[in-house]
Amino acid sequence: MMAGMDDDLTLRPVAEADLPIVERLTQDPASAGEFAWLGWHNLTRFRQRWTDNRLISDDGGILMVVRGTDRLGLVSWYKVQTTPGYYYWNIGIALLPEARGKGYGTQAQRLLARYLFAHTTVQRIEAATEAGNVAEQRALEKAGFTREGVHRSAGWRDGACRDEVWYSMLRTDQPG
Amino acid sequence: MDEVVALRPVAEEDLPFLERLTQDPAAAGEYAWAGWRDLLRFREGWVEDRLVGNDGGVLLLARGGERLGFVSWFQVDFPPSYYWSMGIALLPEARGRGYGTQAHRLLTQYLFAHTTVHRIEGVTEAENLAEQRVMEKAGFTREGVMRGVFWRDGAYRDGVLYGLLRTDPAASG
Repeated sequence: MMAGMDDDLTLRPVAEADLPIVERLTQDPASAGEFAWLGWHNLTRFRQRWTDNRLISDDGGILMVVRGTDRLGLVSWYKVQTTPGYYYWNIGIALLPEARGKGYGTQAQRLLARYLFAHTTVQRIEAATEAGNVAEQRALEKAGFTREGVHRSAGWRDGACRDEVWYSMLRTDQPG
Repeated sequence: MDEVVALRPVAEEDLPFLERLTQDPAAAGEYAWAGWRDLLRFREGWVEDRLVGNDGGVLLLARGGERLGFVSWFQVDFPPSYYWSMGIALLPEARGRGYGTQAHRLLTQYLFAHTTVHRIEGVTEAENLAEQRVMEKAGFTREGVMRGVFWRDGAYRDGVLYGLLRTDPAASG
């Protein structure tokens, strides 16, 4: 293997052996972290969707973020339809606590945007994050997303409405 | 005596009116004409649930016996919660007379009264200044410009996003 290859972040479909990590990222409060812990809902959804379609469909999907053999977290996307004939993607990310603060979020979201612009015709990819989640706002900005505004009280977490900051990347914004 | 502007459920004889407002380019107007699609949607929705379901609906805007347009809303999921996104369509001859502002107020009061949402939003094309004025007069706050959220007449279009919260002064108006 070439030097440096091990450092490269890649995205790949979710394998059955990854399901406990996907569940840990969403169903274990400590692993989900402050901004992603939203309570227990629909606990079997990942397993059911993995059986249905390996967690990738025409309406969205989930990919693992890996570095060598290390599983760092996941990225996800879903379809937002504004008129019957038009849609774009909304993306999200969840990293394990030990993978945060190392620039992986920036790389993973850049890779996902590149993947979606390459294999689908959308013009726009958006992401929303809670106003208090400054780390994710920095990651999106470093990945090349543009801050569009604050959707007041769009979110609900831990007993309160939360403002959400909206970001987008257009196909015409893509660096290189 | 002046007739009051009010919202009411869609009756079967209103269906041609809804179809005209969405399927006749001249009646829809520049910003609402996005091609013919799903031509039976109002008829099918009317048969299914009279166009009012748990995840959205359509109500007719009328002044006495005169049909002015319609308002609509749909659920925006933001797990583990949700809010409403609303829209409006007015006949060309009903535009520019304040009916749009009244319709926004009526629908937001209705939705805040009968559902638990904390937020109602509306997105309008960046060039549609009339609708932006209406949302502002109805008490909505301009929250940002969402780039490339629509496709109309051969081009991507930016949308201006407006939000109204239950706690905003205009919501209790």
